[in-house]
Amino acid sequence: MYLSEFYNRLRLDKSLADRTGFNPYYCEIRSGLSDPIIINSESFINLASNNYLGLADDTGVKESAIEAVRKYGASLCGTPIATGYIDLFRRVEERLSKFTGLESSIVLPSCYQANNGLFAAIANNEDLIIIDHYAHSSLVQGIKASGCRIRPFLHNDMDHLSSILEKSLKYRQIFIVTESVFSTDGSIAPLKEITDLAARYNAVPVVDDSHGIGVIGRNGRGILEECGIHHYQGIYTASLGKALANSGGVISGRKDFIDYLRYYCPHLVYSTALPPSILGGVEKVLDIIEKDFSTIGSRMWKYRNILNQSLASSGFKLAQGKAPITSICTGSPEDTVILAKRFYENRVLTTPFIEPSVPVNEGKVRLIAGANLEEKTIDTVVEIIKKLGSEA
Amino acid sequence: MSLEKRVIETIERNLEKKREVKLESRLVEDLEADSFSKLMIIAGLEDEFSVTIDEEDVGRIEKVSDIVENLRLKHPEVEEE
Repeated sequence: MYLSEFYNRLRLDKSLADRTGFNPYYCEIRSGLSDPIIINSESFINLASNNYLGLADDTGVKESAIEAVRKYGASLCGTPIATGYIDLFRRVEERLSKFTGLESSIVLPSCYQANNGLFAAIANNEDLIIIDHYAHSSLVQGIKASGCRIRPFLHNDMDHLSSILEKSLKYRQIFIVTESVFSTDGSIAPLKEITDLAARYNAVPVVDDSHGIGVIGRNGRGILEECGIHHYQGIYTASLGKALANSGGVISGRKDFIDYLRYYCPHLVYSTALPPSILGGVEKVLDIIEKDFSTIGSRMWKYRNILNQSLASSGFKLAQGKAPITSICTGSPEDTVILAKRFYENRVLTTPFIEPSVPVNEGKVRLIAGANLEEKTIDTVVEIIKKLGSEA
Repeated sequence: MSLEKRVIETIERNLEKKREVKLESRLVEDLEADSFSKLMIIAGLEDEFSVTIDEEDVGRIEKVSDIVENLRLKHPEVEEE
C-alpha cells in the first residue's frame, strides 16, 4: 500500500498534452542533425537544436571523433584525476583556455555538472550568491546545493544588482552569477557592467557562456570578446554541447584557482572523463571556428535576421533578444504548445518553453536556425511562417 | 508613509513587470511570483525594514496583507519608523 501511494504521488501530469493534443518533448529523431532531420520517417526542418554553427553533423568533426576513437578507444574508464587524462584531454583544456582568453580550464562531462560542481567546491553558508532572476536551472540547483544565501536580482537590472551589493556587507565572499546569453529569449547580460560592479564590491563574477561560446563576439569567442573584457578575473563556465557541437562542460579562470578545482571539484574528480570521441570532436570544432567563423557566423546571423523579420511581419510577437535566438512570445502553456504543434504539423521542429523554464504565463517558442541549413530551407520556413501568421 | 504603502512599494520594486499591487493581491496567482520573485520580495522587505523574516513565516505568506500582518506582529518597531 505504502508503495502505491509513493508511485501515485510521482505520476506524470499529462493534462497539458491531453488538452493540446501534442507532446513536444522526447520527440524521437531518427537521423543526425542534418538538413532535413527525420522524425517518424518524415523530413523535418530542425529549428530546435542549439547547433548554432551547424557543426554537429560536419564531416570533418565526425572524422576527428572517429580518429580519436581509433587512437584512444571508446572510453577512458576512469576519472581525469586517474586514467582519464590523456594528452588529447589536456590539449582540449588548453585550446579552450586560449579560445576564450583565460588562463586555465577543466573539462567536465556536462555544463550542468560544471555549474553544480563549481558551487559545491567554492561556496558555503558563510557566502552570498547574487544571481540573475532568469539564470539557468543548472546554476540555481548548484547554488542551492551549496547551502549559501541566495539573492536574485531583476533580470539584467544593474540598479537592482547594485542596490543589493550595497546592503550585503556581512558575508565572507559574494559571487555575482549570470548567464551570458539567456537561452529562452536571447537577451545578453551586460557583463562589463557586472564585472565593474564586482570589482567595486570585491565580489567574484561567475558567467555561464553556454549560449555565447562559438556564437557571439567578433570571432565567436563568446561573451568576453563580445563585451571587450580583457584579463577577466572571475569564473567562466560553458557548454561544449551547443555551438561547439559535442557534449561536456568547461570551467575556466585563473590557473591557481583551476588547479584547486582539479582536486576539489567533486563533479570532476568523481566522474568518468569525457570520451575520446567528444574530445576529438571539440578539438576539430575549435579548428573550424578559428578558421571559418566569419563565414559560418555570418550565415547564422543572416538566418536569424530572416526569421525575425518574417515572424514580425507575419504578426508574431517576438522577444527582444540580441543573440541568434528567435523567440516568439506565446503566453500560456496551452498557447505555447499549440504554436509548437502548428509548426510541427508543417514539419518544422521548434522548442516550446513553459514554466518553470520561463516565468508564469510567459511561454515562448524558440527557433534557432543552424548555419548548416540550406538557403532554400530557410525560404521554406519563411513560407510556413507566413501561412501560420495568416491562419492566426 | 504607512506600513502598507511601504510594503506595496517594496514589492513593486522587486517585480520584473510593472503591476498594480494591492493588499489583497496574492503573490503567486495575482502577481505571478515564482520562487525567485518571492525571494527577491522577501529580501527587499528585509532591506527596507532592517529585519529578518523567519523562513517558516515566509512559507505561510500568500497575500500582501499577510506580509503586513507578519511585520506588525513580529516586528512592531517597523510601524514607528
